[in-house]
Amino acid sequence: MNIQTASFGEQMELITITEPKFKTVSMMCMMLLPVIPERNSAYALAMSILTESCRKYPDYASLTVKLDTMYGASLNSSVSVNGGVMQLVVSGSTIASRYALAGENLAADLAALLCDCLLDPNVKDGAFEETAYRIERKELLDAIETEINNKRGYALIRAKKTAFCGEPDAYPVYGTKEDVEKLTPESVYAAYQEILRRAVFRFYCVGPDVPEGLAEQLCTAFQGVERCPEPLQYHAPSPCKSAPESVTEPMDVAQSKLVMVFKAPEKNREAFRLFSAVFGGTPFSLLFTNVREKESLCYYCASRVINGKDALMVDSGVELANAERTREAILEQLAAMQRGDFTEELLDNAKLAMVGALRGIGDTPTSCIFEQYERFYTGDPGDVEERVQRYLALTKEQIVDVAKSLTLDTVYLMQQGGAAE
Amino acid sequence: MTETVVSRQTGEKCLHVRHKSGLEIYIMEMEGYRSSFALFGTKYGSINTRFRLRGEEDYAEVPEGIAHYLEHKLFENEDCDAFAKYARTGANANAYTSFDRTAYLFGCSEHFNESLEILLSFVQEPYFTAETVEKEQGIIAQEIRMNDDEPGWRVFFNMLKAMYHVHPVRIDIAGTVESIRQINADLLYRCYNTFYNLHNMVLSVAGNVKADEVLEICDRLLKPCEDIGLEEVFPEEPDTIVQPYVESHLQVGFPLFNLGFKLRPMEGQELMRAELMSSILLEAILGPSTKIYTEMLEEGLINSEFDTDSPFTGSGFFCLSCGGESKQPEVVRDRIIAELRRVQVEGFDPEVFERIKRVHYGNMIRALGNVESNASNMLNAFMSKVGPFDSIDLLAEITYEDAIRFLREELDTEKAVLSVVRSQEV
Repeated sequence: MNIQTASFGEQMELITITEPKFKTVSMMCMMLLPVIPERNSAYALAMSILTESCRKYPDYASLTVKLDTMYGASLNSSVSVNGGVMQLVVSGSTIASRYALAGENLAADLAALLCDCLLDPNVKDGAFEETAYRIERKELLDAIETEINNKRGYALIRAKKTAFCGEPDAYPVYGTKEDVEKLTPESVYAAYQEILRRAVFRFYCVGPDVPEGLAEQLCTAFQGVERCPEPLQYHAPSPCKSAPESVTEPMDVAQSKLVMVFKAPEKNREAFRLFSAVFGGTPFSLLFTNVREKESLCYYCASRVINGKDALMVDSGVELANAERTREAILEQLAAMQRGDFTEELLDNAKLAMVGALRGIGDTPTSCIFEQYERFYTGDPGDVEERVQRYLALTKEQIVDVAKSLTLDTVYLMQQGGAAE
Repeated sequence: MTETVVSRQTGEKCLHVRHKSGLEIYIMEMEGYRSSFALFGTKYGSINTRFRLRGEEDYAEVPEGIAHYLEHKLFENEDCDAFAKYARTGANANAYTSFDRTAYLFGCSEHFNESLEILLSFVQEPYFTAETVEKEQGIIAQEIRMNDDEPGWRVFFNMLKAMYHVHPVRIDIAGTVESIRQINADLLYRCYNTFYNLHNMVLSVAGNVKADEVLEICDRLLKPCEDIGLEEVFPEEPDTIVQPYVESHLQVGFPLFNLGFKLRPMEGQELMRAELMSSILLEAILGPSTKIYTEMLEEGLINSEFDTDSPFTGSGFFCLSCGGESKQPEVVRDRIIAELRRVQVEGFDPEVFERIKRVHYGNMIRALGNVESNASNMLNAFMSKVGPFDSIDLLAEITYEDAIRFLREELDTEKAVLSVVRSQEV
């Protein structure tokens, strides 16, 4: 695997990863900005318009034909928040040129298509073209409206809203229905131009054949874009409430959802993640073996670290009558970890799981990209093997310290059998 | 019996072994990869509720959801559970039960051989007691409840219920909270001894593996067993659908729908051809590049969640479907059916067919670069009674004429079911 970095403008970096074993070429353009909640809707809408049409392929149908001829190439956008940073992503993937049946240079085609979508959108009189705008606006409104369909995901969003109340990343990533209704084709086009001007760009390209001259191609494409990138602050720790806040939301569901948010100053990134693996992040963790297997309270009870927030979430789907017992059982397992009441074997096994996942990076293009991106946003130059060694060096005392530092901040309960407001 | 299977289209290859124990084994060594993936599967899923063995006169009937229950319980051996054993190797383990199969799997980047030993051992060592079986009821009941709240799951199962009169594909994979109460240790042992016979099973591994080491472990750990002459039987399914429309209520932001068509069941190579042709046809007729898709999108009848599904097939069932979100699903159904009927008469541009074929080729190439996909695809091929590379080789042979004939002869738009999930009106 050969990794190269080149600049294509101010705060604009191209990272190419050449790996002969891959059968696909993948490109991902990350546009990174400080989170400004009131802009979320406009940014999300701009991203979806960019990947549904462009001047060359002015509607979704013609763009789809182009993607089909590139052997079903993918072209997607996404928006997400990582601590204090809004991550706007446009990505695409196609098969490696050696599999092209007519000798096409698919990597070069994909790079050109991404440049078309990013820099030559379907615009008329200083605004996004009306039909494309209208379709994507409806898509965004539908996405906001259907958030409730996925009950587990919805419960996590609601818990975050309480846990991070008043902080930028508590705000819905797509904004609200009211935010979307205020937008116009002009204002969304202005938001797009703002992204080009203010964002830090990370352009990743992974595959067996990285197109020659890609950095120059990007330089040329972005030439003339006025740049004023803003500094990024990923770490946005959330202050812990003086007493846990409990929120209960009645809903017409068959199963209640319990979410608990804990906070702690994150001093050691690896220790925090290893703690989560022991506590509830693996099928041999304390939560899995005790809350699920021994007490049969639920099908899932899992913990996860929330990036950039110094916080940890535990979520479970339970019978309402068992919700209180589940809450107690989760706290009992945390108390056990605070007392150091877990085996060295469990810790070693959790390390093995973390190390196994790390060493598997490099077998998929996406994992290569995210590993490189993680190095960027953590400012940690350590490669996979260095991080493996850091995990292996962690002691039980360090994990107990993490457990002791955690404080319960929020308890959210989606209560079955009720009617939503 | 050992053979090397090679794809005519890509040159990709794997090893196929019919092991003396009765087990079929597929191994794909993938150069340059660090990780590996293994699946140990049996042809036993939620539809296998009625069966008998050679020499038995009567068919046995077992409660709904028992294959899935068995999957949960098999992880628990007499000494400790399989997850605890995997924990010592760092493998990421799991299992799944579908309509016609159960598979136990793990992925890892180290200690593959040790993890494979765990996989082969625990699946061959069942241990059920009244107490351990009862303990699982609460966990599985919560899994069922979780799915009850999942609108995508509900809309699909409701469609199957409205499509199939008696075929067990109409029942939920995990059964119901009521049906799982009838499951006990004796029933689990009976089903285990019937379906977990190595003659009914497959091992599929791919990635950073060495065939000779895999086979050495198999020689050591597989327990030879007799072919017991398993005979599955399904009730006689009428050719018709049950009802053309079904609706249920869940709290959703937007109504969801599935539109399905009941087709004649097929198997083996005929089924694989039919699956490939129907995937291409649905995409060519209803996909995002078509006029009907664009019109429905622009009119706000559908959004980009609308998609055509992979053909849903297995022993005694074959269903083509599409679905998404719409406030007017009945209008969407009528438009789609009208378009299918038009294309059955008029045909469509053969160049579109070739273009969508190319998309499928691209998807297959993508899968070949992924360790997990390769292992899964070899298992799926075994389950479908075809070779591991048959689909990519067959794809090259399918013509527009074959596909349009299939559309005219096999798709009956009278056998359509529309399933809708929407919020209860107050």
